[in-house]
Amino acid sequence: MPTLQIAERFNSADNCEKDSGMDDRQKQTDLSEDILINGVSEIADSLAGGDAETPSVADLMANPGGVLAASATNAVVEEVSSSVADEPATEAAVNNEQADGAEADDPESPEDSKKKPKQKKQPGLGPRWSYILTRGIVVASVWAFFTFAFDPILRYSAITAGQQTVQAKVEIATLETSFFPPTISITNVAAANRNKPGTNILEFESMNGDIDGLALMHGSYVLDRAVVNGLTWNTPRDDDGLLPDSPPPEESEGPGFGDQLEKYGKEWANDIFDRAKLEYDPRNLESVRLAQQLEVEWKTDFDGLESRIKNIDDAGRQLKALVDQTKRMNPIQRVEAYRRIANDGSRLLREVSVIRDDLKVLPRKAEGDLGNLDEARKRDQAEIKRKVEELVLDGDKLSEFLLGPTVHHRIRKTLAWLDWGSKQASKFSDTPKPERQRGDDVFFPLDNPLPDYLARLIEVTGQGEIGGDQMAVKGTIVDVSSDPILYGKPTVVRMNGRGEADVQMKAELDRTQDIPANRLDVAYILDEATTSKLGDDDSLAVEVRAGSTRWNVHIETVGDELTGTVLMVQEPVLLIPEMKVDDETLGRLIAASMQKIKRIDATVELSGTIKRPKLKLKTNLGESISNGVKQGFGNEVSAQKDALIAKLNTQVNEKQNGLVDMFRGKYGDIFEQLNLRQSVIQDMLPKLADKGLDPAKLFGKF
Amino acid sequence: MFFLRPIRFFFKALVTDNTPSQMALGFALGVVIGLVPKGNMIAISLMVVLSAIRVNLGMGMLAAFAFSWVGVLLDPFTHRIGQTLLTTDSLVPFWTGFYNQPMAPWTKFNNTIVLGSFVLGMTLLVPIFLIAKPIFQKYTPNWSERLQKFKLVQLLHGTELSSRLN
Repeated sequence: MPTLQIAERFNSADNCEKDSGMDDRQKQTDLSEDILINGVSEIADSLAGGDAETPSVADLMANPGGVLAASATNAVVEEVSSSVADEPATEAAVNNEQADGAEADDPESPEDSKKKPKQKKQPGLGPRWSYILTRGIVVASVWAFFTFAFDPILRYSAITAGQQTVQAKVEIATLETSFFPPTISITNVAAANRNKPGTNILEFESMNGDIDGLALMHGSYVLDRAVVNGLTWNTPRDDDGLLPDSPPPEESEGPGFGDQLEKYGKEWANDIFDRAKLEYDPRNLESVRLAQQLEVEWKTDFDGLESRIKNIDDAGRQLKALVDQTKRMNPIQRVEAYRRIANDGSRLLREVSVIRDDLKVLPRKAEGDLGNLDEARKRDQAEIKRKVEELVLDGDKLSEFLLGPTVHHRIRKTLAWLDWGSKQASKFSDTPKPERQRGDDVFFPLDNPLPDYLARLIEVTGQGEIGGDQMAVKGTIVDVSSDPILYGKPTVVRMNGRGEADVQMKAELDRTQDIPANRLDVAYILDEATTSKLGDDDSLAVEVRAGSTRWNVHIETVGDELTGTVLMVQEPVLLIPEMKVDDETLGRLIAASMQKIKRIDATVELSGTIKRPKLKLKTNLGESISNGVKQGFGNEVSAQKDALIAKLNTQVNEKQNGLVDMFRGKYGDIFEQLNLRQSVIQDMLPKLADKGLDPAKLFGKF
Repeated sequence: MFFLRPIRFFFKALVTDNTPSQMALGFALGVVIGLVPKGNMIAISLMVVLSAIRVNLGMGMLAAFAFSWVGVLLDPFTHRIGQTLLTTDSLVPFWTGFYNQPMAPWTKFNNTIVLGSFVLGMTLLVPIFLIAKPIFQKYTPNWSERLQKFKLVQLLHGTELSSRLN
């Protein structure tokens, strides 16, 4: 029975204690506990059938008492040895091992094993399982942590850190590490673009990196060399990629300089074609308008005088009728009539005199008006000269109009990437340390200080869109550091893209000084024929067929300040203009000048800030077209100018002569009418005097 | 009841090495581990030592857990100890030299509380052992008896056997 066997173990244990010379009471206590805890366990272990030496279930069923007794006895031997081993450590350990060895190496029948406690005074040689088990559990826990928990925790941390950086979703399919040698391997990484929901700002298939073990021992995570495969960017994703607490997309600060450029270009083009129309419409000239105005004014003046003469005529007729009536009047009535006739006649004569005086003023006024007309004509002539000369195209404005939007589009994309890279570099290097920690860290100088995080070399391969072309990219990213000031080296990104075009890019993100600086150089070479359209379909568009295209971009930023140049060369080129211009001459000359252009050179000077860049564009395109138009115009401009002025003079002269003729005719006519009226009235008054009555004398007495 | 087997193994691991000396030393080491902030190589090394030497692991882990809370309360005191040690001019060359050794930064010894609590713990190690040992000598048998009365312990010790026998 098990109970009896346990009792035997007590006896056996007592013997062992005596042998080892331990304190009886303490040993008794220890052994009691050992037996209670381990003895039964050992029996259970034996029954579990895990060891070859332990009896089978069939044995147990055949002779349960014997089997259990044997198992218990073995367990007692082991535990006693184990207990004894505590204090004379070396000796005990040897005993334990021997005991365990004996147990393990000596499969005996239950009857034989019964005798063992008495025979077993010699220590065993086998492993001490209780000790191994205890430490094994600890080792197994550590192993299990690094095998099953470490990588997932690291992956979760990387996703969290990535999401904090890009403020959008970051996915990492797998992350695996190894410690001997220290390496890291990541697969299928995608980072969403919070400013463009539904797209990934970048993604890559895998990254395998070697970690610097020595640096790791000094507390720095240094990626000696990493290889990134399958890098691509601006790829669509299934969801919007925004986090629940993602900030709203960054909005551009008002219209960009490219939009303004496009707007100004269109305004300029419309203006120049409007001006072309203006020159051929003399109705808009001041002198012509003034002549028309004078014609109306003068006519009004003369009509007014004629109207007043007509009034005198009416009054003269009434006076004549009254004179005629006096023949049939009695003398008293006749006296009254004569007095009235004398008054009215005098009044009419004064009115005639006033009209004459008014008429005499008109020549001076007309002279002044004609002088004003002449001045207006001179001004019109000067304006015609100026506008015709200005009609020759402004090369710079034409360049901006034609190439501005295209150049802007490329520069905007380049600046956007530079801005993004700069922000990420700043975020990485400015990562705040956790504020809450127990105690203060005291730092001591290091012989070879390193940043907390550093990637010395990342080799990148992938593919993506550059300048509108899909191309395979290959490059390196060097010295990405969380503390560039300490490390003393800027991050340098070199990329080569190969597709229809070849692209070489070098970006230097320098955070080694207090003020962040960035330098970007891009060379884009496309040795294939391309067709593109410049300008505006509503006014002037140019189809450009180029044999090769080259872009060279150099941009620098220091703090917020932006400087740089962008050079573009296209050659050989064929330019085909498409115009909606009424003026055939201008259109013909522009087309002719474009045919002479075989190469386009454009230079953009950049200034301002990344957010609000300013550009100054100079190209041979505008200048060439302008010069072509100018040369083509040449004599034509002069002839055009003379023709316009002649046309103006003719029109103004016609108007002027018309005015003069009208004035002369009306003036003479009115003058004659006044003389006639005056003589008629004066004639009527002497008739009265012939009849013995002098009205003046007569009425002077009253 | 095969699933009890690993639990029983773990329980066994915790209660082996249960002489008063082993329990007292386990307790003393547990106190040191508890005082030192975790997440650094000093704490991990102490855990390894606790696991590697023949002390009572259960008592050590229990003490470490309990004294982790005590350690937080002692932060102002340990901070002062650590700061004094780290900023003493005569010791700076030693710390600098040590700081430049591999693995040294992972110990976080340059943190005032880590160093202060470690020094305090190590200073208290022997006194705690000497105080704890007679206490364990006196009370361990009683605790053992009481322990056996718990059904969980009985289950762990007897269930598998009884299930086999039945």
